[in-house]
Amino acid sequence: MEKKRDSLVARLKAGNRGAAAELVDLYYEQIYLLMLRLGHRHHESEDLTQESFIQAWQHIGQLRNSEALKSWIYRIAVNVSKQYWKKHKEQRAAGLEDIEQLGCDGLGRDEVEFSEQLVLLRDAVSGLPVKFRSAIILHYMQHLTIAEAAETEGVMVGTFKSRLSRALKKLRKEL
Amino acid sequence: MKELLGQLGEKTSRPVRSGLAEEIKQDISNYLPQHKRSRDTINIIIDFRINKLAAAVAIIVTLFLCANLFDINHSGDNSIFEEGGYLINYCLQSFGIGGVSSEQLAGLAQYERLVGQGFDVVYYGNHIDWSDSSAILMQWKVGDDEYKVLFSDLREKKVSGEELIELQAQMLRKK
Repeated sequence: MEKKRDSLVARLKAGNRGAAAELVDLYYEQIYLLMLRLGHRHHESEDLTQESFIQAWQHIGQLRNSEALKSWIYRIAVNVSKQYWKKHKEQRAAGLEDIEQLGCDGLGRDEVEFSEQLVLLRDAVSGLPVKFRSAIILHYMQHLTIAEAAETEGVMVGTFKSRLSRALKKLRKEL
Repeated sequence: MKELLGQLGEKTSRPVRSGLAEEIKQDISNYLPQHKRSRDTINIIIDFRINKLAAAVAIIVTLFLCANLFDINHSGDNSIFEEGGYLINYCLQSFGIGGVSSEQLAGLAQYERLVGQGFDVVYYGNHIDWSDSSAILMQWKVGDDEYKVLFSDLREKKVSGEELIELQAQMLRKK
């Protein structure tokens, strides 16, 4: 696995088109979902996913540690998203509620309760400050490890853990 | 809470449009020329705009540097400077800057070279009649009572102090 990743990075650095296609195949779904979860609408998310890969391709020379490939591409994506929000300050984030309708129709009682819990949690996550929201999304929804998520956010592991713990505390308080 | 967040992550995912990956790959291909092709090569694009005269000066200085770098022995043989002069003049004419003879350019080139070598050179090029082949273009001391004189036709001659005074007097008389 490591050898495969190292080879991919080496081929990317050499400007290999096949490697670029491989990188896209590996991560485009994750990055698209990340964009949605960061509050972008469907079409924006597609555009921003595309933009993230173009930037990754253009700056592949800056990737020094091939082990960090995943967090590197995530970091680019998060930055692309941040740049978008800077340019479109007036635009409201879509929020998780627009991503998927968490409907309760046709469900049993337990399922309805569970679904209601999710709705509450969804609203609470959407209402979190950006840093906390991003930490929750990267670790619990995108399933990045603590180290990967910390690297994505450009902070120390300890800082990220503390951020995550504060975010969870806030969510518990909200619920 | 963590489990709920995981569930929310699943609920907030949606299938990615099938053509997105191909579009991204296509888009990356368009950026290939801008991407550095290996770690050992770099792309340098310089958009350097200077006026025509400055360009001509830059060419002259470059010729000088080359002449000094390769330690071209100039005594008695002016061919490299003459040819350089022709080349520069050709360039200047193609830039639309006419009226500078190859002798003048070659003379200037030699003056710069001698000054660069530490000689105390007296230059008369701004005041002489260039059509007079016996006019002194420049002079410099090479030893006790020994001087070198470069005429406007780029002939070089070693003279004594007395001969030098005589040559200068001739020039003044012609004026």
